[in-house]
Amino acid sequence: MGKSLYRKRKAPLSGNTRSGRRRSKRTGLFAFMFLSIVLLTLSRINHDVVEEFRGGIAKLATPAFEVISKPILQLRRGLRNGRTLLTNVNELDRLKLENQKLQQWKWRAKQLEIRLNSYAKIIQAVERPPLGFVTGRVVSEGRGPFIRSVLLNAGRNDGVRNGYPVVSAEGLVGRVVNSGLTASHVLLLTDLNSRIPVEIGSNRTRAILRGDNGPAPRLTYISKGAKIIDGEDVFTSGQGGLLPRGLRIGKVNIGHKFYRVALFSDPGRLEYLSVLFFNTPGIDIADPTGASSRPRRLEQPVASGRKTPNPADSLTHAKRSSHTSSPASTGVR
Amino acid sequence: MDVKRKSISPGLSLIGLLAIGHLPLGLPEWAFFILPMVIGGLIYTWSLKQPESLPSWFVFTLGLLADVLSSGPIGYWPLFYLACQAVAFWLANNPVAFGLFRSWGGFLMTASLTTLLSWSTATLYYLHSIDWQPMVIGAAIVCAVYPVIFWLSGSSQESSSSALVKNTVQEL
Repeated sequence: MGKSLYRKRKAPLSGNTRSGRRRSKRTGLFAFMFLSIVLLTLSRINHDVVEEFRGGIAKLATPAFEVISKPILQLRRGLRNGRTLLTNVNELDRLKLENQKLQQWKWRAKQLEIRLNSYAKIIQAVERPPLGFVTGRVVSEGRGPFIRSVLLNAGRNDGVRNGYPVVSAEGLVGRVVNSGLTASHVLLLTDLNSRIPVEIGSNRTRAILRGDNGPAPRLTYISKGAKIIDGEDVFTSGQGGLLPRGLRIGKVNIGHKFYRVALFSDPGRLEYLSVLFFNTPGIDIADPTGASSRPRRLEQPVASGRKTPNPADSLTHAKRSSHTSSPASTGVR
Repeated sequence: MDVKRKSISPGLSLIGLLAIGHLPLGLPEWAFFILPMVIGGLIYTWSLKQPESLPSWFVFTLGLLADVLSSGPIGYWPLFYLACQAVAFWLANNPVAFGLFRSWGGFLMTASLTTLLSWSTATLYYLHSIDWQPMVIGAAIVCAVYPVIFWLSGSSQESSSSALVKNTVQEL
């Protein structure tokens, strides 16, 4: 095992041939290293060629990843279910009690919804059109020193555009940054480049949620004199017009140095995600080429075989525009 | 036939590992650098033992694929992998046999250099101090298990190397 054969292989070669080969090898290596640095620079200035290249490769790789990731996801789900069974047997009584309480809340929420709609009619509030969505499966995870993203098997053919918000059943996960024809890259909230305008708690304190590649993003640019309490809800503020207002994100976690947010959705365990078709002038600026594309299929899950997340579950402070229980008719004010 | 199989096996193994690294495995945050470092370790070992089976253009393409799949800046992983290969080529110039312990020592140096390169490139790229802990943890774990990598890459070494010797003799 420990004996090297490198010298043995080189032995029959003459000195000139060996040094010539070594020189050409070294030249090739440095040429490619130089090319890498050039590409890094192009990538930094966000050159179009880089984005097109990335989209093309993602399109080619997605079908393969879809096939390979299926058994992995099933295994993960099985392990999770097994762990839940082992640890949560004693939780059953508590959950039953909680369910009873939630049923009461559900009834109360319905009553409030009816009252809200009647008030909306009285003041003749303008109704927003319902928010469409498409659900896809995570086929690949992108991780590196500065990247937290996932590849979703839904793309422009499904109506996805750059800048659209992406939610799981638990809450906001991130937004689309690069949409190909059949796949899209989703930048997660934990990514270093992620900046989301948010509101905190019932006081609606405004701040910016900034990812730092850690599991809990930081709250920055908090309004002066704002009082933030540990455990308060954090949701999107809708400022800037790129995201709808009221998407659930997480809870405030006051740390040593910073205010952080414990996310409702675990970035390491994402399976099915919904892309919300939130069309605003801001989206047209973020993705001018997507304005003309028409979604081939709307409000249909790309993946099947499992209950897909209902985007309506992610909306906490948002209001519904109608009474229908269909998720497709969910509107945001 | 066997020679061909052995000479393409490093490439296929690396592509396979790269694909596994991008599957939604649900790994914790601190573990993201382990698999790229394992790939770096394999590139280093194969470049040291059988450089003909792992040309620079292949390492470059592998890195590009990693960049595209991770949605990171294009050129980052090629630079990292090529740096691993550069150290291996530099070490291979020395007229000493590379057994396990020498290779391990070389890999410690490679891992330190490439981790530093990786962190500084990322920090320069974003003008923001990147969290170094996951990188150091990943590099330390892979350094600790390097004998396994050496053994895995060594299993295909003997037959391919002897075949290469035969081929070279025939050429001469």
